[in-house]
Amino acid sequence: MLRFIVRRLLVAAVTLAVISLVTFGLFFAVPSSPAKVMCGKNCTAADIAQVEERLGIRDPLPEQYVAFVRGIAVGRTFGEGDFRRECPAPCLGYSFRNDQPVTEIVAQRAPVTISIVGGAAVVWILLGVSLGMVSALRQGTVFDRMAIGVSLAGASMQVYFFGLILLYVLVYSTGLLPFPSYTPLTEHPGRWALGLLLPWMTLGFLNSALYARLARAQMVETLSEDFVRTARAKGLPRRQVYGRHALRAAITPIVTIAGLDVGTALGGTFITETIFGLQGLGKATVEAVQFLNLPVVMATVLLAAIFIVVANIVVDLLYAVIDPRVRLS
Amino acid sequence: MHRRARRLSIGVLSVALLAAGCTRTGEDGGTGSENEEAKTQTGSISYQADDNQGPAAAVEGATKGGILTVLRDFDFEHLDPARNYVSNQLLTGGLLYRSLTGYKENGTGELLLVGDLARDPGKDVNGDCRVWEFTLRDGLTYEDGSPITSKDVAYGVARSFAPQLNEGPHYIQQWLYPGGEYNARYQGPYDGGKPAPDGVETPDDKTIRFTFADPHCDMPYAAAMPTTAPVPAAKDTKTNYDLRPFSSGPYKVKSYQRDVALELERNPNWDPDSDPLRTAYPDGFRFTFGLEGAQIAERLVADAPADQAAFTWTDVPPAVLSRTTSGPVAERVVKGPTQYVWVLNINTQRVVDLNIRKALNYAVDKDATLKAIGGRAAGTPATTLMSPTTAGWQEYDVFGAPPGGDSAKAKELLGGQTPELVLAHANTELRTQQAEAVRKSLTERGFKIIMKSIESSGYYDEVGRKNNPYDLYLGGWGADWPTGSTVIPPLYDGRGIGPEGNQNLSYLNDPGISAEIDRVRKLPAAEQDAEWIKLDEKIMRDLVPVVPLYYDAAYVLRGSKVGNAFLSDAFGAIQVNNIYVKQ
Amino acid sequence: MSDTSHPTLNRAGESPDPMAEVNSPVDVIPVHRRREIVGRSPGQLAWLRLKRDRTALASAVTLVVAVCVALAAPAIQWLTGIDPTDKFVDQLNDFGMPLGYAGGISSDHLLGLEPGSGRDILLQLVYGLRTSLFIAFVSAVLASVVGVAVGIVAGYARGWLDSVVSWVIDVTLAFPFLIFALAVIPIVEDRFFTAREAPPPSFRIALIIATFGLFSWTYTARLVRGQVISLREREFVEAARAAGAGTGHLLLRQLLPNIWAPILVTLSLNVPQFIAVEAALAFVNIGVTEPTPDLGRMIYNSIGYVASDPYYTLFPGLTIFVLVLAFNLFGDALRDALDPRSAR
Repeated sequence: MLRFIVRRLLVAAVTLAVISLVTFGLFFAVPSSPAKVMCGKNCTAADIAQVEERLGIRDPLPEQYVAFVRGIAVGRTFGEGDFRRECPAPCLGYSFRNDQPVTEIVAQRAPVTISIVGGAAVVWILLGVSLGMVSALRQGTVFDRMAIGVSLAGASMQVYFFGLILLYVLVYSTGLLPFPSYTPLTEHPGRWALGLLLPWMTLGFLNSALYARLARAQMVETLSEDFVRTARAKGLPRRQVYGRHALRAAITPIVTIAGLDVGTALGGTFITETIFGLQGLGKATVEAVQFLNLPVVMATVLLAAIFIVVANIVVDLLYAVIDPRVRLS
Repeated sequence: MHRRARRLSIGVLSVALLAAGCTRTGEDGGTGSENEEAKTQTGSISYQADDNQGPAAAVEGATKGGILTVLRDFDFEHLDPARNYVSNQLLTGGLLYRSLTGYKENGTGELLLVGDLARDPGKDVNGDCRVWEFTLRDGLTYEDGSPITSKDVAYGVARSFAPQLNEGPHYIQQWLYPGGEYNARYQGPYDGGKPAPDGVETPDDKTIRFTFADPHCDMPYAAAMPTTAPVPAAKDTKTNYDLRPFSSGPYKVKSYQRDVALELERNPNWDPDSDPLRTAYPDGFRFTFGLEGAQIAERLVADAPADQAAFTWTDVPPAVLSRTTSGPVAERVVKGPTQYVWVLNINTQRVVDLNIRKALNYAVDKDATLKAIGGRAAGTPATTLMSPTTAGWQEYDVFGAPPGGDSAKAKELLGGQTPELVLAHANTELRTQQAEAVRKSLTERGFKIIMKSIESSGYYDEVGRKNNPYDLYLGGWGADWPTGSTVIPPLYDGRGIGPEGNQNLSYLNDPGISAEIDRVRKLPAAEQDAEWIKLDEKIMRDLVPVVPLYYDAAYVLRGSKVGNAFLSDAFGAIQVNNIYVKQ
Repeated sequence: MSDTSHPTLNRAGESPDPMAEVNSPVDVIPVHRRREIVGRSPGQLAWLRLKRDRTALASAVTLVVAVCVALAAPAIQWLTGIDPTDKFVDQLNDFGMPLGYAGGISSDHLLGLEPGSGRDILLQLVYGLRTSLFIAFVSAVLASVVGVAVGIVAGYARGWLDSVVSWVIDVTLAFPFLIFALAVIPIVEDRFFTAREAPPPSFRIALIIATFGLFSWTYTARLVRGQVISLREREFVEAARAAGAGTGHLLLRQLLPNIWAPILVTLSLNVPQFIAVEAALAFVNIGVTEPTPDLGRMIYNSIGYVASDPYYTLFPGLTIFVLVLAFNLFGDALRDALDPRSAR
């Protein structure tokens, strides 16, 4: 078990290193200089050179990369003289546009994205799995057909389309819900939930489709397996058979998908955040790409990758906990 | 078995369809240009005592209190007075700090330049516009109660020379150090620099004197830029100053989370009696960043209780425009001309044939470029280089083509040739649609057009390079103050062309025009206005460096509880000095 | 259970149970073989099942119609006499909204006009469908080809090569697609075209396809790898190997025919995903460029009009919804038909 975790963590570290290198290389190849974008309306060649100096992008790429990695370990300083800026470890870079270490920006934005995805995941897993389970137990009934039909339609809709229609119907036209906004959970749990209700509903409905179908298929399959039949034959009550035995076996693949979905969603909520005007990591990343705010791009890409890599490991571990048939090696 | 699901989703859409109604769209749907064309700029500098004295005149029916929300697409680039240059930023900056002079407006179109920190708009000491003296009012204090001195103004000017803080306007800097780069010889008070640039003296704590080598009769206008806002050296946090300027105005920063929100609260040490410009009715302002234009417009159209005390500086996007023309929403539309003029720049280094440049003026469909961004609400077709909001502006039309273009004339001028031209545009949705409209009309009228899309954040950098490889590109320019001196010289004086960062995007370099510019500049301020528009026409008649496309108009919304939200003529956007929350 | 460390990631709901994947039609003995179809090959069985499925039939018809309409776009252009880029600006009011009822629907413009530009929605839609379907199909094929190649090699080679491939898959999955596309598409265009050359729309389309291919082969590769691992020790492979068959023969003749079914299903489920993501690219200005008509960009542009000109939003929105739904239904039916164990 421990060996497994250590090995996976090592591989994960290599993965992250490669991703950071690729990102670094990609943005080094961008034709327009971030210094020019930052420098603004009346900028001379000398000004640009100075900004580049300050950003530390005049050195050759390998040196820049080494400086970046060193910054994560021991922190670094940017600029000179009166315009010196400290960036304490772990330093993912310094955003001169915001005059903040990038870690602070990430720390401000991450809770928004985590709140969106976390809440939505609860909706989609609960809704999807319960819908799928009930469908499986009532195979062939009207309920089953309806549930699967709705879920297929959901899977064929897109966030940008469904989300906007919900916005029009629930916010702009009827005013049933306020325009989404983010209030920290610690500040006011009620306002936190109310402000995020719409993205939760949207993501929840669209993604629950997949889970409903998955849960149904798994449940149908598990119900026909020997151990369930045995349990039934032993005379265990239905609730115990379905609830404990069948559900437990059927939930494994659902956990797999859910873990990865949450990981991917955390890194890819740009469109959801844009549609609902929420200032999360996804929006921060795309805005950073547009303004060539490279340190922020680096940090958010890495963070998204970490989400996915960690989700992968967690899923494997959960597997062993949920499904007794799985052994980690 | 899945039909039911399909019907359900269509049901959702049909709710939206119903919500929109099925009314007929008519021609009369959008004539948004009745009143704003009539309003022409009457900018002038006032030395009259009652104009220059605080407190500002009370607004009828206005009440104190409440928090105003400003819905914005992006965060401000810079609020540091040395780096603040864009109109919405300037308006916001005006809540936090005061310059030597400022614009006094009341919504009737009357625009007066008066003293803000200074008692009056500045004294031309020798009557030759070379030495300007400003005297500060009595009893001015910062947010901590400490006095504002002329030394702090000098320090503010000094720090604007620092290369790290170079994003603001550079008029005064350039005038102090004429010839060459404005900060080649002085780079601000940092790292051992002098505390004040040459030519700036502060004989006492109340007086500041600027001495220029050349006459600059525009100084009262230039002094309205935040370059002259006071910054106490002890409070200077350098590049961090952007996030929290030390307040000399009616509000101070309460909290600022970059790209998310900025909150302002009252500065208790601001004295309304010392301020002829600001009434400062609301208790605070809240700026929300990162919203799409459509979201802002839809929220303000809906006017939900939470958004009733909100307004925006972002134009209503075309998709929402048609629903703002009737009913209670129409009353909450704030519209009018801005100082911006959009032109199709012709790179005169590449397109040297005057006939082709003239043909372009006949061939471009100005109407289509406007319709792509919302029609007459977004602007009116243009024929001049300067905006109607410029003092002394007079209409002229060298070509007399209809706004849709004149196919026959264009083809006649081309004489059978098919020029192949590269049209560059920023890659945003609206600019792409506009460029596509230009391409379409030019292609139909005898040109071969190659479209080049450029990432929007780097667009002006790309076309601002002297050796840029493009022939045509859209560009908008707004005067920094309402006279021709911040339009014609920066855009059409060829002597200022450098390798990069150019504003003269047609790269027009004509000695005759440059000489004319020098001549007009030396005239007394009052005589300049009429001469600038004459020069404007001469440039279009003789050299045709651009195709004037349209005079930009602001078309924005406010919530139902926002009072006195008129367009500032100085900034082309809703003013905030005298706005209030209806109780 | 090597598959557990690389869980599936297909949004369209592929059954992720590795046990189910192992069963390719070739080695499945149907539990209750029906009397009238005794002696038919698994392929024939699947075809029969598919034919009998009404949902499959309906979705297939929808797809065929969509493809026909897309292919027949020039014919529609000829019939109506309207070019997709024609601008009927004179039929817009001052705000750029189409005149008349229901977004300018008339006998000349059957689905009305686009607000702002004044282009004919029907022609834009038909030509846009063409672009979108082309991108989605080619991307899906590309992803499958790469995925199959990599998967077979990794599964068959074992050892370090297998580990490397699995790791590359992990890296690819962890890399944010949108950021990559945002960074790479403009760079590549700058590299290939000088500043005075417009990259032809086909180049942008090729770039989009390449980007999709680069990020979407992983699922197929994983699937194929798992299948190959489970099959390579089977008797028939052993027998072929013992008979002296080369690696190429083993891979292409023995293994590939046994795993085509899940590949086909993945392919058919990938297409709708690409249609949807292609529309998402328009959100960040890296979709198909003007003036090439494109369904994805049309949807993006039309969304804001949902309240002002709902018909403009309705037509492309409905088209993409029906298209994606039909693909999903068809992919599902195909899987059911190919995998007799799944009872529906």
